[in-house]
Amino acid sequence: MNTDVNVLFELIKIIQTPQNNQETFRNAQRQLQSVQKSNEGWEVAKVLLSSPDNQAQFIGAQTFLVQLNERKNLPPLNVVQQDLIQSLQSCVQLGYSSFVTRKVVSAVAKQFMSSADWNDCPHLVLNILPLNLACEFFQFLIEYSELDTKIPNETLKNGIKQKLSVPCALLYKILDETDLKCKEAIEVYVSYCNYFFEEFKPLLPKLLNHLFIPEFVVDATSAVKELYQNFRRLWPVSYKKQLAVVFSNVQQVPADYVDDEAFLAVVGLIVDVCMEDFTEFTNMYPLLASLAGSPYHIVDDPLAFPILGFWNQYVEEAISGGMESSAIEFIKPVISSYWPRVKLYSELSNSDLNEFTGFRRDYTDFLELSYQLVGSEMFEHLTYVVLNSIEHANKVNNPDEIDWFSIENALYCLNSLSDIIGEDYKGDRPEFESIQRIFQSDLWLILPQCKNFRVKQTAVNAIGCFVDFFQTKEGQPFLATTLNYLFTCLESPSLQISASKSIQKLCRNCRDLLTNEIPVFLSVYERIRNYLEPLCNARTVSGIGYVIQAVPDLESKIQIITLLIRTIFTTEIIEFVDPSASESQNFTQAGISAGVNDQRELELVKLHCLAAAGKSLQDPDSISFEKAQALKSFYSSNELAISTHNELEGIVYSCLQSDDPEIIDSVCEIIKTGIPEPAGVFVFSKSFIIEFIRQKSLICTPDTSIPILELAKFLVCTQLSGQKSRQTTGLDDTELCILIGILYNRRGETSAALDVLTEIQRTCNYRGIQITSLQGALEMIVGVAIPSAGSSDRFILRSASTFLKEFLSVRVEISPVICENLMATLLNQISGNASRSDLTYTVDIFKLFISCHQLQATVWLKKYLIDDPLNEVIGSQELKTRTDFVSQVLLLKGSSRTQQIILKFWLLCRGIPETYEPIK
Amino acid sequence: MSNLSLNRLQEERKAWRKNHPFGFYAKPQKDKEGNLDLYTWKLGIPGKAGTIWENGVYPVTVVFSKEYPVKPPKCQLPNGFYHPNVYPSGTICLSILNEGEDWRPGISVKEIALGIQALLDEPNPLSPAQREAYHHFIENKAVYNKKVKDQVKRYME
Repeated sequence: MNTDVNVLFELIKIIQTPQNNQETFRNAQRQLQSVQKSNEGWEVAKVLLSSPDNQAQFIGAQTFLVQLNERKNLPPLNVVQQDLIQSLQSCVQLGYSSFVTRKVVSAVAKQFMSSADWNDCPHLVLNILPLNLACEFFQFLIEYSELDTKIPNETLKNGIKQKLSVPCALLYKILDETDLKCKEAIEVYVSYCNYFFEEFKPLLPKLLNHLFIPEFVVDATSAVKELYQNFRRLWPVSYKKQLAVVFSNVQQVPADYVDDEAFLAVVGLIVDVCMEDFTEFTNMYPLLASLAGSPYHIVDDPLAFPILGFWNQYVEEAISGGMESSAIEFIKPVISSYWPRVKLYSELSNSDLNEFTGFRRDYTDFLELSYQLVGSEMFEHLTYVVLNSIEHANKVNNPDEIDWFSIENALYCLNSLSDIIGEDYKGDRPEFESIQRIFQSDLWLILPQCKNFRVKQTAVNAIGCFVDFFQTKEGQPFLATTLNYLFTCLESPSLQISASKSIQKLCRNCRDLLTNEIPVFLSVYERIRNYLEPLCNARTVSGIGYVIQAVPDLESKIQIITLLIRTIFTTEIIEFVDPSASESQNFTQAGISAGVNDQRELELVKLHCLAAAGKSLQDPDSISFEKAQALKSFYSSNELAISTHNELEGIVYSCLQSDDPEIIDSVCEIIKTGIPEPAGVFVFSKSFIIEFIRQKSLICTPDTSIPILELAKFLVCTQLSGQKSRQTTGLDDTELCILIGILYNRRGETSAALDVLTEIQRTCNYRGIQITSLQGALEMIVGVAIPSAGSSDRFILRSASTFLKEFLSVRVEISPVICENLMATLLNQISGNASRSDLTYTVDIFKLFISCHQLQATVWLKKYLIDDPLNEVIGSQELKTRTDFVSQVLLLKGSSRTQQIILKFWLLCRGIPETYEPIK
Repeated sequence: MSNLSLNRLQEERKAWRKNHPFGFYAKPQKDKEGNLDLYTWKLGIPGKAGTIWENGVYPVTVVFSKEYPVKPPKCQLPNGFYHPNVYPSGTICLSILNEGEDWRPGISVKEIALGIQALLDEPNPLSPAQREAYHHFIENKAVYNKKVKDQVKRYME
């Protein structure tokens, strides 16, 4: 051997020393690997294995494996086998570390799998190794078989069965004789069962016996779980009975079960097995029911989720399998058992909250499912909990006595059941009566006394969940009180998000019933607007806007709108408050110190609020022509309306110079709110909007041009679509051309501009609108769209594809120049330039081109593919291939199979024809 | 084919109940008659803690076809959801949900949910699906982060 052994030991030392620098480490590793692979590798392995250092021994064993994997410099077969067996013997006799022996075992297994005639190998191994290591040998055999047999599942199974038939019989014998008496034996048993279940099935009773032995119970449960799950139908009845006997020994729940590993493992197995088969092990249901009522907190109970998972599945099976009547006897107590466990508790830490909330959510799923069995009784119980807690507090006349967590718990569950009632509120339904009693109660008056924000948050959510209730005759009397409560909640930073959401929802749905409350809402809003988080501010404005929209008298309406807009415009930023902030940070303490420290943010808040107001002021119903005329007449003559509108125009114009995309976006949103409306303070004239777009398009940056282009699209589409617009006059020819010109000027933002133009085309096509000057303008735009169809930017490509499809689908005639350019661009993409994932955009255009303009397309197709190849790649394809391609695509006339033909050609052009399998 | 898909979906439901990550939810929706429709699920994906997406729970509608699990389900966030790999329609562009890419019939609902959660904070710039978020993500991270944080507020529970 030429390699100096001392050098090898030195290298091993380097790679084992953590403080060595990376470069030294990598160098040593490289040198060592090189020796391992060299023609001296086998000898090196033996030398290292015989050294006294166990790290060197390990590298030696590893070298055997490297050599066996490489199979380039191996000594003769008999020497290899002899060396390996001798090494194995040394490992056992000299008491080598298990990680070294394991590596040698792995090498022996590798060699056995590689040689066809080493039949006595398993016997030799069994004579040398103790049971656990022998099991590892068999485990390696199956792992190597799986790795070597890279074929589909069924064949894999057969392949492995063939390869391992001899070791399999031997393994069965030793497992049988030794009663699976070690963890490795259990592990290898499961592995072989997955391929030889029928052969190994007789050993199942031995495995089941292990469930009684503390040192094996964890491994045995996981093994039984896997085998039951995979082969349930193949389990003999007698074994299932044995399993039931095992289970029946676990009827008592130990007091400290959360620390009892064996109990947890067996119950985990029971849950899994029962979920596989709901009828087989019903004797375990009492145990599972009692575990539902465990005294441990959810977060401390490892069985909490599995047990609830079982009951959830059980209810679903009971309902779908028609076992409702027998199920109900278990379900009702289980619902009650969980009750105290899903209640918030003061020691619940923030880190545990996620787990607790997740459990609660699963519990409410359980309730929702169980409702089908238990019915309205569930609502009655939850209502009782709330009312009883309040009643108790009233009796003792002490708000501190209120069990807020029980109330919260009941409300949380009721919220989750709100979908069950849905919009179907009928006075005679008991569920409805229950909800009515909740909203009739003093709860909403005493809630402000509660100090826990989660309780308040759940209550606020309850209002949002049962919003339909307030639209009913029975709910209406409580609407104002409830809303006032919600507005009060806005003062609390931690409740703003939920409260503003519920306010918006309630105001939108019950607008007609709330118009008398507007002064109160405005006064509260004026008081708190500076302290609202921007999203909550906009939601609150939106809520108030909905109610203002319902005011019937136009004079009053315009006064209130003006007041709202001016209030928005006197907003200051006092503090943006983190919604997850603690309860103590209520608004009265939220320091005024913050002041108006960010002019841009303030600007944005105001603009968002204005957009929210404009949107909520839109009429939800269709408006008759007469009413539209009356509205126009009012808004064009009322002085206050005119001056308020002018103020808005001023605000919009003042933003014209801004380069801030968010500001421009918000301004465009404000303008958009008025576009579908016949009249109102947010309705800007067409000329104003077009001028705004024109002026802004001259100075805007790519960032700010997108909202401008979107505004143009919205204007055009709304105006062209008679159904959407309530205005009697749409855009005229000139206005449209001005807009198209603007878009053409912004063609740098190709994708966005093309999207707008596509919408214009689509709307015109759909509405059958013929605009002569539009045709000319569009052809001009096609000049931009065609090169874009060859872009590598997916957005541009997608927009160009959509635009061109719309263009091609309706034009009867297209100029020859356009046809030629378009075909050249498409063929360039098809001949390999398009990326695989974007090819579909090209194909879409191509198909329409062929189907709608076959004559013109054929001319250029033949020219660029056959007569005068467009590029070198096309020219390098065989003439027959090209001719076939042309005939096929022409024959298919743009039908769906064109995609496959094009893909095949694309692959050929990319030089990867072998990867293509024609789809039959 | 439909029996296969139905059986698999029942197994998925069971598997989810046996073991699902905290903060997520996944349940089949009800049809018009109030029966469970196993082909349409609602998933709740929480933003990963410690990322700009945290505190929000994002609702994903998962629609399975009769060809499932041979074909992947279609996953949709709400319309207009702000993320570079979410189409304006809300459809999520993720390789494990694409039949032509990394979809395998063995992929579970849990893996889909975790995959979407990972995608939220680790967008794939090579597969953009919407212009605005992609543009911000590439060109202006500050605006991107702000927009995401604003969106999170809308999905706080």
